[in-house]
Amino acid sequence: MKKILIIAIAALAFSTAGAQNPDAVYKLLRYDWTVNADGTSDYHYRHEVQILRNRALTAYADKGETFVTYNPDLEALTINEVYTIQHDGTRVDMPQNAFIYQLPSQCADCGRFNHIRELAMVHTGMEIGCTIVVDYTIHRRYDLVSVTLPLMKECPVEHLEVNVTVPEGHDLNVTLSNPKVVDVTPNESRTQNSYRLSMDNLPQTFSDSYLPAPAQLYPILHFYNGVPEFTPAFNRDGLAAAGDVAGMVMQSGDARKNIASIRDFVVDNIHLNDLPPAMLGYTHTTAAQVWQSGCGTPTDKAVLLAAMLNEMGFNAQVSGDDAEHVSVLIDTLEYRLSVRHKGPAEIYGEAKDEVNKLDQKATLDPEFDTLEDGFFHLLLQKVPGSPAVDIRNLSLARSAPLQSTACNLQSDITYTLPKGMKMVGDAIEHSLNHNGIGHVSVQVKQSGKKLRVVRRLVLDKSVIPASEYARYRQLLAIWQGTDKILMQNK
Amino acid sequence: MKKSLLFLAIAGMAVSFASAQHNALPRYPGSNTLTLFDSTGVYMEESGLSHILTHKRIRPISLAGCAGLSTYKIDYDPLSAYCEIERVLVHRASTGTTDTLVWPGRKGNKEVYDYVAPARMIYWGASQKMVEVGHLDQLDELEVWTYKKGYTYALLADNTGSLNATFAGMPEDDARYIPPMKGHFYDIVPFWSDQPVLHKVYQVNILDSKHLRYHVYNGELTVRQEAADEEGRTLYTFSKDDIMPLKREPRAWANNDIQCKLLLSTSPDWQAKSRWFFGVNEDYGSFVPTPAMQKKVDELVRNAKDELDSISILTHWVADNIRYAGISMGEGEGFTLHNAEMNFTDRCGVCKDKASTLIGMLRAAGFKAYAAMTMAGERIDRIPADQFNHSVCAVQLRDGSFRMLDPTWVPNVRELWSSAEQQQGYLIGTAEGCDLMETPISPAEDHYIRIDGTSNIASDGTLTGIISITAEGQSDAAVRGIFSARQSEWRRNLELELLKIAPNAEILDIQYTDPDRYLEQPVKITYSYRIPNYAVVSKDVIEFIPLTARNFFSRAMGHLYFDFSQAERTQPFSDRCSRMVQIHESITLPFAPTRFHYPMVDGIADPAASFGCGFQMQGNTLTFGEQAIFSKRRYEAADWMPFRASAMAQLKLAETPVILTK
Repeated sequence: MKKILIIAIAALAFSTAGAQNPDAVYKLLRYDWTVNADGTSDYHYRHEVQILRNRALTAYADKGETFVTYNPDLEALTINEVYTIQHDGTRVDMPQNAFIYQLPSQCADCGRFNHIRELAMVHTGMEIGCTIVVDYTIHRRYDLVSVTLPLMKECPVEHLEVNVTVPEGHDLNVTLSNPKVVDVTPNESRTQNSYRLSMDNLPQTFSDSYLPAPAQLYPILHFYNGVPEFTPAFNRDGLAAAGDVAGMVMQSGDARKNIASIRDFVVDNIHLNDLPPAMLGYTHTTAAQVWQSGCGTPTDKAVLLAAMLNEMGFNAQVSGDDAEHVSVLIDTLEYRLSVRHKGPAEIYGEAKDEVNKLDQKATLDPEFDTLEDGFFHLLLQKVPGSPAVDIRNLSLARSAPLQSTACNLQSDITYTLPKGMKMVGDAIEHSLNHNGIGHVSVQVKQSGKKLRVVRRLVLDKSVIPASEYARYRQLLAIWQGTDKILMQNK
Repeated sequence: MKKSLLFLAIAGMAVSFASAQHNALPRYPGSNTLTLFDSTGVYMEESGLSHILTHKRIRPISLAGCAGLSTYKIDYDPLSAYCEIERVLVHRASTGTTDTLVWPGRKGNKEVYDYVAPARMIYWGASQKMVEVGHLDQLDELEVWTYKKGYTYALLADNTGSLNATFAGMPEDDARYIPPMKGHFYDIVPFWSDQPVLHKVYQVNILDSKHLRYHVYNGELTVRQEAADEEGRTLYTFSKDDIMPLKREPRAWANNDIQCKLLLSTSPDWQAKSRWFFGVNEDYGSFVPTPAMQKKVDELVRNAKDELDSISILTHWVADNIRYAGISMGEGEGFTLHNAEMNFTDRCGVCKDKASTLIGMLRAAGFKAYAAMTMAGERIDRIPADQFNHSVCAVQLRDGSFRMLDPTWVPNVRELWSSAEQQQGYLIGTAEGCDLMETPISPAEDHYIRIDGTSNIASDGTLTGIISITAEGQSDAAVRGIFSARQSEWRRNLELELLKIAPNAEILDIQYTDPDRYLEQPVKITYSYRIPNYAVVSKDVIEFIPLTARNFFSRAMGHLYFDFSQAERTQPFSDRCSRMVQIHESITLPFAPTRFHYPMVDGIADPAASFGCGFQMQGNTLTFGEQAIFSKRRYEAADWMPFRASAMAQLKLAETPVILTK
């Protein structure tokens, strides 16, 4: 008798007030960029954040310190005001010993970045209900601004302001991405030389698992007044030793594997100082100096990698808008390597199959877990290409989109059973169809000595909107819910 | 002059060794560096100031080793120590030449960077000096001499332990380099390493009048004691060859507890250290309450029921309202507890400052309270060296006994002293002087986890019912860890605890005690649920795993996450805390079976750990019960068998079904 399974999700009798009870709230978040006619620029930042719950003080306390990293060679930091207003209105000014100028961790182990500084401001007088005020300005000896600014934070923002001003003769390009992902209307005003944005009552960012990339989730402001002339070049002077090492790590006749091996060496053995190019005035150091010092920024590492590949006879160049990649030509194909990650070298621009496909039909020997007294569990193989989402990590409700994998999987496996082995209970048949999201079916049936398991999963999209999440979860529950069959051998 | 003599002595020891070993081929698979020699020489003066000269020669023996030695750094606190990277040489294997990177008086030395090191949570300005060595090839050798005077207190000590350095002859005021326990010397010297060391030597030149005491723990050293060149002084030399990295077993005790170390001290006993610790903070006025603090104390304890209630109120207020972030008070930082003015205004501090806030508040409430030092994560041995990394509080009750309090470890915890610190050494600072003591084992029943369930299996296999969890002590804190996240995540965290073990579950309701009022009662969380297709049910077979057996809220059962692949172990090990797990469920079945196939699990009865379970059928109701007890935090190697067996029994029940037939 076929058993059609339909899963209904009952309403969760639980307060959803959690999302409305944040641990802290930004009363004000303000960013000002001013480009000056004299070739300098100023960045002014202010926040006023109120602590609402004790755990914002103790368990994760991420509002307790503010860190500002700057390059004294190019930038001057001025603290305009920093203080705490306690619940009863008492103002607590930060003592001098609460300002600590230290080396940022991303500048460790590399002498040429040892001058960069991080100001750690340790906020004092914090208590539940207090408001922390931070206001500082960085004056920069350059006039190029190129900023990508996510507008949402880990707690709600009551009032956000962004102001950008450039002098005559500068082109200001501004894009506000995803303005409608949240139910907040941006107030914008633009002129030739200025841009103003304000938004009120921005919610906090999501903290769910399996989130899509932030660029898909949140409003992001991007603006610039020019493109840096930053084309990292390299030469191979002083790289004989690097070439020896590159030759040592190349262990294959396959060029693609060899370039990946050299890339892996650079990733593993050259310390990464993750500094943005703007902080260093869009400069980089020579490949020889990167090699000799054993450290460098992503661009420095790309310069070294390109030089090492050229030492080994490959045609390689630094590439990418971020100057963190190296393009290598092999047999007219361009491979692009990142200096941050290892893995197989992939063809740049190659279209990837976004849908996992499988059409599997096989007869297999069964694998059993032995239970008591003639009972066994027959273990079902996982279907290749299944979404990497584990249903055990999925709550019943969700307000954020979910990053899954589109797929079209068909698996038809027949197990040949030992003599006398029988499936306990009726044949299994579960199926569910949700138009627009996908469908799933799982059938398990024994005929004589054969146990046939037919599973099918079609997911139409890879990003599941929150409105369709509950139905997606139902599909996944059926797909992942049958992983073993109770058998008995009398 | 003294520094020169020290240098020559150290150099002599090292050079003779180096030339013998220079051509040794590396035979240390899995290691990244080989230290050919590691020499330390200490010269102590009357005041307690000491010179420390180190001389090392290190060979990278892997690509990672080469990368790791591209810079050489030493840590120090500029308020209490002076240090120099004096000489740096690189011996190139490929050419047989030596590059001089740093040498006294040489033009063109590589820059020695001096900066405040990256920091989080403790912002005392702890600094580093660094030389960029540059690229090394395998079999090159890095040779470094460093000089230091001053001291490093426990919180900022590197793995080589705290050092007292004294120096004479430097053209500046050395008073700040005299260690706080004036006239004394102590050191903790590890003779273990996670990379191979061919030869390590530690030498101290000390006045006979200081009556140095020392002891070697967990191993043996070659010890030589001889009269020094200067009259009235003795030279002690400790050495060891072929120090090999220990293959540590999972969750083994700290290296200093199981590997060779040397402790030295001129302090006659722990009582002397206790009196010193008491005096330095009383003299500074660490615990004198301010009017604002007094006002707060009066407000907090106004409605306290009794002595212990007052202590609890104040301890939890400090724990929950003084956040952990350390800023420097300047001179005296590290061993002086910040005073009430600083603590109450800043509302932040490290452990010692939280402790001093609590002591000030307790004294404002009329209690006798004292600061104490302890060592979290390691044993304190009898030689009174500075074996502390944590500060806590002791309050004296009316009956004269002391009660230990730790406001650093009990935010959002229902204890006053964290039982994650049971079996831990501590030293209270009192005017009379106390001896070293140890916190007792905390009974497992004080950290119970109780899971109760009532459920029904329908003929279609649907399971409906109620499951609840309650816990106390450290287990209560572990369960309530769900509420330490942002409040917007609570619902999801609660759901996932059930969905992890039953992804098809429909959660009908969840009730829980108010996490913000955790002091009023132990946590209790109750779920009502319905789970389709939970059991396999046919006309004569029911197969299922009792829901309560499936390690519900395993986040509170740290014993389940050990690596059990090894049946035996040689190294002692530790868990977070003792605990007791009690599980009970009553399950109504769709029919009354006549044959029962329960998971075969042996009972365990041992003082270290025990396990028992039972199934009882009456009509069509199955009753299931399970109990596991883990009695300690620190276990000997011999305790592994019962510990492992008990945890694995619990894991087996979580995965093995009950099969009932007609």
